[in-house]
Amino acid sequence: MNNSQPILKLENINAFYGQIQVLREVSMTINEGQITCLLGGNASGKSTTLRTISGMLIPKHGRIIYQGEDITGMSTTKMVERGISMVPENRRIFSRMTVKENLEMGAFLRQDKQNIRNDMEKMLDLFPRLKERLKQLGGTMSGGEQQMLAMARALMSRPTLLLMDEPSMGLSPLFVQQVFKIIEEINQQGTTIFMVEQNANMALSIADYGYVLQTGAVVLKDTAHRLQNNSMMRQAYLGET
Amino acid sequence: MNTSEHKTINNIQQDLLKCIRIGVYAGIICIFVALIGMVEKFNSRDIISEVISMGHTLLVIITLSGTILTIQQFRQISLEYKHSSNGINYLWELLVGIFTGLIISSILAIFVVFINEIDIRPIFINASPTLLTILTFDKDIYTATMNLLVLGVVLGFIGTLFLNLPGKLRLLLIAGISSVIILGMFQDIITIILSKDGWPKILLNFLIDKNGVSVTASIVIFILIVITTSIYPYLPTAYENTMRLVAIYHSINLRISMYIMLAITLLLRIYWFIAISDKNLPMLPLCREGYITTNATLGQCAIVVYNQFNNVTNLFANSTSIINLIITISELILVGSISYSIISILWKSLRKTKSYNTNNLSELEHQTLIIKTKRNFSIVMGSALLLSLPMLLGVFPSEVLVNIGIYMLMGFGLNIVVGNAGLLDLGHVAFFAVGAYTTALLTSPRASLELGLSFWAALPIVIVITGLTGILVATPVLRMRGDYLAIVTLGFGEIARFLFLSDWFKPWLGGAQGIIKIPPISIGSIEFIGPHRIYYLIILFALIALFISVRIKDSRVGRAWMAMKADEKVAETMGINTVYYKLLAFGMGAMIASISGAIFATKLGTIFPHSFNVLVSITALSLIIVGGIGNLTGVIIGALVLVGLPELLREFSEFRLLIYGTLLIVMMLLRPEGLVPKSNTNTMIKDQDLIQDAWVENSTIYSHVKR
Ligand SMILES: Nc1ncnc2c1ncn2[C@@H]1O[C@H](COP(=O)(O)OP(=O)(O)O)[C@@H](O)[C@H]1O
Ligand SMILES: [Mg+2]
Repeated sequence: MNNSQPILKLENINAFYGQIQVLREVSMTINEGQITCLLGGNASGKSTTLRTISGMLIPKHGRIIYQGEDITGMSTTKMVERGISMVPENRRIFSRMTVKENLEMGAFLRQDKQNIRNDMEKMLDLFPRLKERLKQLGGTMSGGEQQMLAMARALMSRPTLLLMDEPSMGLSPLFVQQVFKIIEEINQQGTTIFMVEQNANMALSIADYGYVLQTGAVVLKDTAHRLQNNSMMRQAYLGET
Repeated sequence: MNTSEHKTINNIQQDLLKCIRIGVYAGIICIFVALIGMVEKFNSRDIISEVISMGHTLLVIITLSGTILTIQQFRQISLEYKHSSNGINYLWELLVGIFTGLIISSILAIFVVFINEIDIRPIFINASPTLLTILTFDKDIYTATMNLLVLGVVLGFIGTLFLNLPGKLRLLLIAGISSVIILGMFQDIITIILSKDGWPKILLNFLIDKNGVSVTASIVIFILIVITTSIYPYLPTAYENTMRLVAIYHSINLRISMYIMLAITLLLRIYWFIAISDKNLPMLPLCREGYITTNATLGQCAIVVYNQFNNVTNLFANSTSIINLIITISELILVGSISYSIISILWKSLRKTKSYNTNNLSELEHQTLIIKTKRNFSIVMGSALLLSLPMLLGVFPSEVLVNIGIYMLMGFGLNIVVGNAGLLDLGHVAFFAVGAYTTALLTSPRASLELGLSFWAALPIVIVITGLTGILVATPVLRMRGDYLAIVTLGFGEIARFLFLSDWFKPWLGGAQGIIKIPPISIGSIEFIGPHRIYYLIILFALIALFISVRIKDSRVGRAWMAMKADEKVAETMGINTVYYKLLAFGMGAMIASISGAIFATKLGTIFPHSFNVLVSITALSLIIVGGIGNLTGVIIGALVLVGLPELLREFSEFRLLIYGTLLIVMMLLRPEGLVPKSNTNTMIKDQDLIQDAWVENSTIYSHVKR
């Protein structure tokens, strides 16, 4: 476990929406090849953390180091170019585009047509449900299918680091299991995953490492296994009394 | 028992309320159109000569729509409450219909009595004695009121009857009646076209009587349209089958040969024009006068090129007839098929290796071939028609076509900004104006710069400058979307006009006097003066703009815009640089609009700031919305409807804005996707797409093609 290299480091991030401070001195390390999950209650700043990493929100203080390079303040486009891809909260697929067009959008920055096509076939193998629906408009699919599409779309850019914002939100239990299985599979194929989740149990069961955020500050960090057994964790997030 | 009776009574009350409401609305609309002067204005014309006037038609249509709407409402209510038997339903409907008709007509009758008694002209200037005569049919007030009421009952009855006809019959009736009405509305323009030399005089005399369509003509046209409409469902199949046959028998690469066919025809035309004026050149057999007609359609532009327009009016006068068009088309097909056969033989011998035998074609390739054949067929026929239009129609209709073209061009530009990139721009006129002013500055010898460049030298500069203006305007509004963006751009449009008008720029731009003496566009010694020549330029640029728009829509840039329009934030997470693509959209939209402005300036020869008011922007935006946002066919149709119709319908032009507004509201309610909804264009997938998709799934492809 210790032999994996850090791929992304947040150093004392302070992020604001206007005057309101949302992240306070947040520091995190995401190791290459691992699944790291970020837990926390509503409005604790989880999505904000992801937005900061993906360049949509520029932190007031602090640094973001990605693969040894300081990427603080870079635009989202630059982040995608460097291999950071995001599955946004609530999926946000292009509802008026077909599944195929959605996938093509994911590969927007890539020029290698042949490889894009191969990747698309790979995606369809990974998400067989999408295969039957290539010509269907994204907006007409069920929530679970949309989540799969959003993941596949993000993967089409061949990311090294995949950011996911609550992939299990609003899905039926069956779908949640499937989605987590696929996340594990993606990770095993070599993509580092940083995932925000409310479903702490499920998330910790597949993750290697976890952070817990409370009102914008990191209050707990440990290996997933130890977090699962942490008494405070169990009370606050894992639904045990 | 009790409850159901109760329900029925409730029901009747409901129905009555509905009838009264819609009836009152329709009645108020009748009074409204009368008071704004529409009825009187329209009444100067008859739809059918000496039978029914346009003003009366308007009122009849409103009344009929009122009753029909009411009955439809009534049907919905009946469905909800489940009325008893059908027979009773019909009776109810009849009652409701007649009642509504009666309400509408009684409102009108009260209005008539009112304006008969009290002179309200100090307030409503249009409530004139003429209006009274129209509404009373020139009878005394008591007979008139009675007549109106009876008419209301009759119309209510007709409305009910109409709704209860079988669907097919209804369609035929609508088609027949509306074509007679349309003919009546367009009688002016039809008279202008048909009274030109070259059209058989009998046609005009037959169609148009003193003040409207002649009675016989309306009957004949009604019957003709009814027949056409009834066989219409079979036409697409017939067309499909013909194309299938063509595709099977000539299963070679049709595209090239069809284009060559068009080119050869054009070349022959041009040669013929040169040969008749230059006696030294021999007449080619194919160019013999008897064969290729003495009058030209397709080659009109060619002679213009050669003769420098010295006897243009002459030529123009006798160069139009329907026979001419027919001959041109048959000539096209004849020459085309000869060249076509030669090329197909050549082609086959050249490409022996690849067999084009249909038996070896997969279903997919076959479908592709048919699609190609159809497309080439429409390209050839379409270009033949496009090229001969000014000769067929004459000067005034060509003028209208040019105006349509100018707006269409601007529409293509605006469509990139609004339709593709989803940025609501209400100030597009600014770019149109910058294009026009830059052209004027650069080309007019009387402009402050005294450059006197030729149009073609100025055009690239104009395009670049306007493109930069677009980027300049877009920069401050990058963070804005939707309503905010619309208001800010609206402001920019007005600012542009005020700048052109201002004293500040007066030394350069001439203030309210504008810039005069803008020379016409010329190629060599040929000058593009007059609508029938500018038309060809417009067509040229519109085609270029269309081509660019089509290509860009399917390109990487187009997809970036599409994503940005759908969800800006997510587009960014796909790696789309939204700042860049927004600027690009504004820049390109501005560039296309600038060409439109440039042609506009040379067409008028003089430009004033007042030509560039906010109405231009609104019209351009409306035509996009009416056509269907983001849809190129929609832009064309929108321009035809919104720019063409008001110019052709003399009576309408005064009420242009009223009709725009009504049209937009109705569109938003009934067809929010526009006249040409997007799904239509989605089904017109390209053959490349078909083949590309082959790896996806076979079954889906065929279902897609057949649609
Ligand atoms: N665009 C925004 N503007 C202002 N405040 C925001 C914005 N987005 C989120 N916030 C605030 O930031 C805090 C953290 O939000 P978020 O990161 O979305 O929480 P989480 O994803 O953990 O539920 C919340 O209090 C929220 O109201
Ligand atoms: Mg969140």
